[in-house]
Parts: sequence; C-alpha cells; structure tokens
Amino acid sequence: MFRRYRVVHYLNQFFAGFGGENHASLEPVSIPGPAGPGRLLQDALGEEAEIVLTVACGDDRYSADPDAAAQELMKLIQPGRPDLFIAGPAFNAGRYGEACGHIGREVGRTLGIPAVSGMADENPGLAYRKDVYIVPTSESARGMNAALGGISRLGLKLVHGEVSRRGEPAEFFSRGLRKNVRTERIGAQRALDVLLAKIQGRPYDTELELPKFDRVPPAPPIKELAKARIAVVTTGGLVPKGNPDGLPSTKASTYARYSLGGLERLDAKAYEAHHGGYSTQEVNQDPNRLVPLDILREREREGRIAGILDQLYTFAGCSTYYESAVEIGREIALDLRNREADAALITSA
Amino acid sequence: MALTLNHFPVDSIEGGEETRLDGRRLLVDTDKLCDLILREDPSLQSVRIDLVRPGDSHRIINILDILEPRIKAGGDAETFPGILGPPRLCGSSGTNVLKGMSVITCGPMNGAEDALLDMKGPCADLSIFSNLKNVVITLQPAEALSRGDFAQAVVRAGVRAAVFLGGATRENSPEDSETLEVSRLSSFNGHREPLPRIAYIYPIYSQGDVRDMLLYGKNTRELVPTMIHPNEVFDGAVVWSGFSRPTKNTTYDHQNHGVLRTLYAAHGHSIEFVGTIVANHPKQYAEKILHAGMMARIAGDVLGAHGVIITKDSGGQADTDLMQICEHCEDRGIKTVLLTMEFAGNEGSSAGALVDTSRRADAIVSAGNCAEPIELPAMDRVIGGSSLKDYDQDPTAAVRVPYNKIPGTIGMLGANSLTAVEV
Repeated sequence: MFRRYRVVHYLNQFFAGFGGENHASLEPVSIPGPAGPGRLLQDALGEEAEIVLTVACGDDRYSADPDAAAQELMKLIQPGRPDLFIAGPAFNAGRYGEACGHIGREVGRTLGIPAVSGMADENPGLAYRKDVYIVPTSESARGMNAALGGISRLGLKLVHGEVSRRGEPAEFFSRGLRKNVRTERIGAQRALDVLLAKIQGRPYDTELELPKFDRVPPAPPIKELAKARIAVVTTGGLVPKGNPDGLPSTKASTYARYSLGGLERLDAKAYEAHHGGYSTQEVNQDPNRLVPLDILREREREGRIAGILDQLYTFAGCSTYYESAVEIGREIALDLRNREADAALITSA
Repeated sequence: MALTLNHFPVDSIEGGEETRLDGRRLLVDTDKLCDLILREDPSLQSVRIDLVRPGDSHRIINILDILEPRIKAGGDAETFPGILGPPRLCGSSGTNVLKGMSVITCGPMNGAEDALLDMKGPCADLSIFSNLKNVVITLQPAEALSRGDFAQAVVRAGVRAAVFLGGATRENSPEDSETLEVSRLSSFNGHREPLPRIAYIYPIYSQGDVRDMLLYGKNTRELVPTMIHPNEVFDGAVVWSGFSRPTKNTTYDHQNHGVLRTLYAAHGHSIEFVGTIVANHPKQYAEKILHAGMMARIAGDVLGAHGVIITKDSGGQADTDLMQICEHCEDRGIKTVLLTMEFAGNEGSSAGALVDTSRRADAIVSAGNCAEPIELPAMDRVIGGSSLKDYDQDPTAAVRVPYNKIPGTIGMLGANSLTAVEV
C-alpha cells in the first residue's frame, strides 16, 4: 500500500508558458496538473506523488508586493491540499528565486508541509534557506534535468519523513541552523588557539559568523516640531496592570497597542512594566519615566508639538529573535504611517 | 605571588554527627550547618539541607548560586573576603579546596528565572554540576523581606556553608596541591624568542538591584576598569550576588575560571600572560565607550599585549561592551578573540545570535546556543522548592527547557566543552 502524495508546483510566468519579461506582471493563476517543467518533474517523482495543481505568478507582480502575492497564491494553493510544495527551480534568476523562497516559506508555515526549491548558489532567494529546502542547481535551465532529479528525490524523502531538519547537507543548501555539540577542547583553549593563529598570521575560523543586520537609514529630521504628531513606542514592556493581553516578558513575537486617549499621564495604579530583562521597580513607581506621557502632554499644551498619537505601541524587548524584531518593527512602522504619525519617540528598557 | 590550592577530593558525602573529612568521605553535620546559617541571619526564616549525588533521580530547582567549598589554610586570611568579614586581599598563601563537590543555594527569588539541574539523565552529560556531590541549601526569606535583602542573605548563606564545609579539611593533609603563579618571563627567560603577549579582558555582570557580581563583597555597578591579579579571582574575590540566571556565571565558574586556567597553563610555553583587566557592564552607552577605550589602552599601552581574549557576563547590552572592546582593541592593532554564548533561537534558526555586531569581530568562540531546548525526563524527587517558575506543571515531570536554564552547560568563562555548529 502506498499513498499517492499530493504536490502543488509553483512557476513564474516564463516557465509556466505565459511568456517572458513582457508578461512579468501576470496575476496569480492556477493550472490543473503539471505545467512546463512540471511535466518532467512529474516523471521524476514517478508513481508515488502527483502534481495536482500548478500555480504561477509574474516575477514583477510578485516582487512588487510579496505579501499580497503570497496571500492570493495561498488561496489557489490550499484547495490542492498538498503534502509537498515545490517551487521552481529558479537557477540564477533573482526575482524568481526570491518568489520561490517567499511563497515556499509561506506555504510551509501556513500548511505545515515541506517546501522545496532549487537555486544556483548566488541566488538571493537563498535567504529563505532556513524555511525552504533549496537544492543546489546550475546557473541556467540547461541543468533542468539534474535540478528536477534533486528536487524530486529530496521531496519524496521529506514526505516520507526521512530527512531530519538537519539532514544531509549535500542534498540541499545548509539551512544555517545552529546546533549545540560537545567539543574535545574547552572554550578557553579554543579561544587561545584562534588568538595565536590570528597573531601569527595563520588561517583561523570563527565559530560564529555575525549577522549583517539591516541598517535602516534614519528618516530626515522633522522641520517643524510644532506641527508634528508624535507617537510613542516602547520596548520596555509597559502594559495595563495585570497584563490583560498576556504579553510575554521575553522573546516577543508581537506587540500590543493601548489607547492613550484622554490620559494626562500614566498612573502607577493602572500600568506596570512586564519585562524579563531589567529591574522594573522604578517604572512601576512611575510609568511616565518609561513612557513620558506627562512631559509630552506638557509640550503639547505649550504648543511645542502638535499632538500625541493616542496609541501606545509596546512590547518587552528582551531576548527577542532578530527576525521577530524586524517583523514587529515593520508592522509598527506601517501602522504609524497609516495613522499619520510624523515622528515616533521610542523608549527602551 | 603564589596561591597554593590544597586539593581534598571528595568521593562521597553523608550526614554525620560532626563535620569531618574521613579520607575522601565527607561527613556533614547538617543540623549544625542549618543552625549556623539561621543563627547569623535573622532575615532567613528557614533553611533546609539536602545532600545529593550524581545518579540520584533528583531535580534541583530555584538554583541561585553554586560555590566550591573552600577555606583559607591559615593565618588571619579571609575566605571569600568582603562577604562575611573584612575585604582582606586574597590570592596568596594556601587555600584548602574540597574538589568534586559544591554548595548550591536555592530559594524563592522574586523575578529570577528558572535554574535547574538534574542529577541524572541528559543533564549529567552536559553540566559539570550534575557530576558533583552537592550540598543543596534551600532558603526561605523572613516575612516581607525585600528581594535585595534576601539576595544578600543568600550570598552570606552560600559563603557560610562553603567555608563551614571547607573547615572539614583543617585536620587533614591534602592529596595534592597546585601552585598558581604568573612569573614575569623576562626575568628568567632572556634567551628565548619573545612569546606573544596575551591579556584577558573580564567584564562582569553589574546591572543593579542584586543583579551584579560582587568584587571583594562590593557591588560592581560603579566599577571602573582596573587590573586584577588572577589569583584573587581563583581565591574567592568574585562572588555572585544571589539572583540567578544560569547564563550568568556562578561563583564556582569564577573560582575555576576557564580562561584564566588556560592562560596560566600556556604562560611561558606558547604565550606570555601579561594581565587581567576586570570591568563591569556599564548601563550608560557613553560609559561603555569610555570603558572600552580605557581597557584597550591598558591592554596596548600598559601591558603591551599583542592579543586579548574578551568574555562577557549575561546577554543583551553586554554584547555592546563585547563589540566596543573588540573594536577599540583592534583599532590599536591588538588582536581579539571573543568568547560568548549565542542566542540563535529555539530552532537554531535566528540570525541575531548577538544583539550587537562589528565587522572587526571576526574571531568568535561560541559557548553554545543558549536557546536550544533540551528534554529532561521525569525525576523522582524535587529539591529547592515545590514549583517551577516558567512551567506550570509538576516539577518532577518531564520538561523541555533551553540550555540556559541549566547551570554548567553554557560556559561563558571558557571552562566548558560545548559549542554550536551550523548544520
């Protein structure tokens, strides 16, 4: 008895057969069964898995607003009830690769199924390798057969549960996952070895590559503060007393928003800090020292600022994963823009 | 200046009518130890003592600190100076050490995170403390005692117990002893090729309100970078202030400092160990820059170091110190290696392993991903309290916790053999 696994396949406008760059704005579409290289992929998958549906989207259409494209594509993908999602291969095509990675991550997270793609090693879509299994391919579609072979083999292994999250790296790009292991030598000895190599000009390896954080250029200064509406954002974890929404004190993945409307200052009886990384005693005595609403109201009355956005944005910034921080930051910034805040005062723990 | 550590290995610990060392068997008069801790400290309501051994199906919870039992061998020297008695200079003459065991203080500390240790199972493969004979001291604060006062009482109780047990060595002779000394190489090694001059930069935790390391019994919040003789670190000058999270190195970790041990061992062979600079983790950014600059100057202009090993205590803002010190040193041509835990998330997938970064930090030794979860099986008995803080469940039941809840796994002072690799 074997089960026939259901596969949904993603392609861009070119591989799906709609045309080249002049069709890059193609809206998300759904095609029954395999299409384009999907036919070869079906052969490679054999009897055990069936491409029930192909979805396609233009590269420009996808990259213009990836989240919107993903949302629309999800609506097309879900009816296929896939056990496995395959995107591409994208070879060295950058926008296509990013779309494959982005939609693969979305499908993986939403449906909880494995997502597989194929890319050449310079493809920017490799940024998604933590969430999507990406098989190494040649630079161009001349390597299609090999790429589809790799993708189908890995895909079948994944649906069989034969690949651990940290499977054999040769089959796919390292997912960049960190795993604790015991070492022969203690940390101090390793540190001294590396230091001596560095001093003596011998090659050495770092055990940890530091991430290249996003550097967001600061917005230009406000020309006239007296005309600006100021928003307040805090990573100090200020919440209504009792933390009614259960905001976590560490590792936040989201933020909360509370109304400041009609408040002159923050009352210690009504607010408290809920935060795992600093002594909250002073804030609990006077929450205005974390979120200086009292001073802002004063400035507002004096006409030195035009107003205060009546929303407080808050979460506990403590051991927050980098990716969560980026996401929370984007969401808050978007909301601030929608509410037409001119500036944000961000206070930290 | 030499410090002689007289080693008294302990193979078993048992309750007894008196406290003495019978060969490698330590007998502990637990009633007397309880009395001693309680009598001297009205801020404590009760004390309970448990003796636990490797292989016991015991889970120790609410851990606040871990200390190695010691006593100065003679004279008017002060063990753990500045905690119970005057802050007398330590680091020389003899100190008796009970090896293979520890004192673990536990208690209900408000705001502290879970810190726990199983005496068998996966913990035993990972934590040095699961492999020690442990005297667990569970403390209850007096009614309405402030957190800060309780933390101080915890420090005193831990030190009292460590010295009390150390006193069992008084009548015995050590099995062996070890002399710790860093001689100036130039005075006796004139013929040799000059060795690379290595210094150690040693920032310690200092976040206020009982969250700091004590140096000679004083908190380190206002500490300005200074040089310290490493023998003082080995001899109890650095004690944790009682409010524990396991990634904050315990007192035991400082007493058995991995980086200092390694530098001592290499001194005169592959390196010349030229000095240790101790500092705090300042709260103000401007002070972080100032301290980093001061330390790089001491390392470069005073010590003439070619390279430094830099560690840190805790996470978050401490990463900024790590990067600032690294940059200031590298700018002066001093090579750096950073030794740190990483925070790669529970699936090991987060890129933000540290909260600050620098392109100069190109040589990092990882003490492991502190967020990686580990499954601990059920234990028969729980010691140190009756409930976990972050897990609403039977404290003896199986539990999945990140590494940083288990003391002795992530070793930020370099004594542990754990790292993280990319897979």
